[in-house]
Amino acid sequence: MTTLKINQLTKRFGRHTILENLSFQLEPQHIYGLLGRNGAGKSTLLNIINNRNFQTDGEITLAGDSINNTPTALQRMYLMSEANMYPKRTRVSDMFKMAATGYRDFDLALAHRLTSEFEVDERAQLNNLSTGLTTIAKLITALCVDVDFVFLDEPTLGLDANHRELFYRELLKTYEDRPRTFILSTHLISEVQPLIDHVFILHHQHLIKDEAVDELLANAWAISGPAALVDQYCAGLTILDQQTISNIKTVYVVQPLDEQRIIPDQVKIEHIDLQRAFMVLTNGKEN
Amino acid sequence: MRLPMVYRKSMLTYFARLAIVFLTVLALFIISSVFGLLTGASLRESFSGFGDDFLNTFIPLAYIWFGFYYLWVPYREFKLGMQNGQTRHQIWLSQILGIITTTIFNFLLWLAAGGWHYQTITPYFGTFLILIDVVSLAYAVGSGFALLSRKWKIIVGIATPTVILIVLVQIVRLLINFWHPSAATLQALSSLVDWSGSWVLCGLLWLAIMIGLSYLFTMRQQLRRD
Repeated sequence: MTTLKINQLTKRFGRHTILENLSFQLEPQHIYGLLGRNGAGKSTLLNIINNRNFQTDGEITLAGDSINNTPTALQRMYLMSEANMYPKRTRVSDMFKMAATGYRDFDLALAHRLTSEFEVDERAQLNNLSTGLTTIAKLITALCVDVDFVFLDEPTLGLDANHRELFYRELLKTYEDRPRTFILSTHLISEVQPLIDHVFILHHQHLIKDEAVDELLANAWAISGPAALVDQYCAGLTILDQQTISNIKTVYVVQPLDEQRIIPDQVKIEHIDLQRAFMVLTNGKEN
Repeated sequence: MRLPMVYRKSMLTYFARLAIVFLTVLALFIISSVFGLLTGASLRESFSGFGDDFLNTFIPLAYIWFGFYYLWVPYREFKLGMQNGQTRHQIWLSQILGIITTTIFNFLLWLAAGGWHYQTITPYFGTFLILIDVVSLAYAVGSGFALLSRKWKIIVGIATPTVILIVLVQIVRLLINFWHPSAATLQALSSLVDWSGSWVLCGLLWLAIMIGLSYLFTMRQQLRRD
């Protein structure tokens, strides 16, 4: 298995820049989270990586070869997205057949087991399925295709809590059985936090974080206490977000804290979770 | 290189829908013959010319479907191919293979409808060339339209034929007003038109241009959001 490299990627629609100068790489056997606010360009990025759309500038290579029009590269990648890529009357079983013909291998036994687990009728046509069941049919296809990179764009769209839980379980199971790279683009950050080991955060056309989740969270803090003491402690820190209720102030920082700095008695410092870290990094304000 | 996915799916769609047309026309003819029987006509009267009438109705419909199909499928097959690990190049090759297959099928239909009795090869070749020229035009237009959003499809769909019509009218006007060829020139032109070789050359040139355009358009296709 090799690394998928994205080098200085830029995408513009007319004068509007969607992605600017992104460089990162996807290593084998990781589960990545691709996070970003609405309109940040996550789907555009995934479509470009999978050669469905063209970049304005930059290049994407797999094993040193550009992925554009390269069958060996595209055969190693699968993108499940909310875009409807199938004709309306396609049956779930037809999706499996097409994937089996298009890709080198498809685990039909697993597909049958998953359709049974998720209670999806394989003979059903996509236009007769609910949004959630359509998503499930697409997810099952994505989990059963034998590729090195599986991109899941909004994989939980329309799924109820039970189905989401089942999906996360099956994702981990298939990852254990056949380790490969998954990239999850989602807004349900708290739910995917236990699954992902590395996170990319897109914000205002740029990749503002490309970091292991543990490393990011090790430096993500909520500092709270009496406003004056918090201000005194946080002097010199980059405060990404803050809120004050009465005289109690909470500030959020994502940076290493100086161990020599003395913490006032009434000031409390706690780690924050990935969702909170994402919100403060993307300048999410809270009342 | 894997070709079959898009090609197989495309041919399945093409022939499945053609089968629906076939069965619909057949059912209509059977119903109308049965009505004939019910209104007192004899069995022979009711079903006389059934085969010829049926073919004369079905074959034009099959040709219409043949022309329309490649206007309709390029973007649909692009999406299917992209979802299933195919490159643009593979998708284009699959579609060209589909065009050859459907042209051969429609050529066989033409033979079945009575086109088999010619003594020379020219009419056979000419018919095949016309069929493939028409479908390659449909494919080039379909691939070009696949690049456009809905709004631009409407604009280009109306504007292009209008512009072509205006240009043609202006050219004819100019020729009538300013071009007064000598008898010898007219004779030379008429012999050029009469020579079947010039039509063959035009047909092959047209085919090459349409295939080239379809290749250019397919290589530029992208997922649209409309």
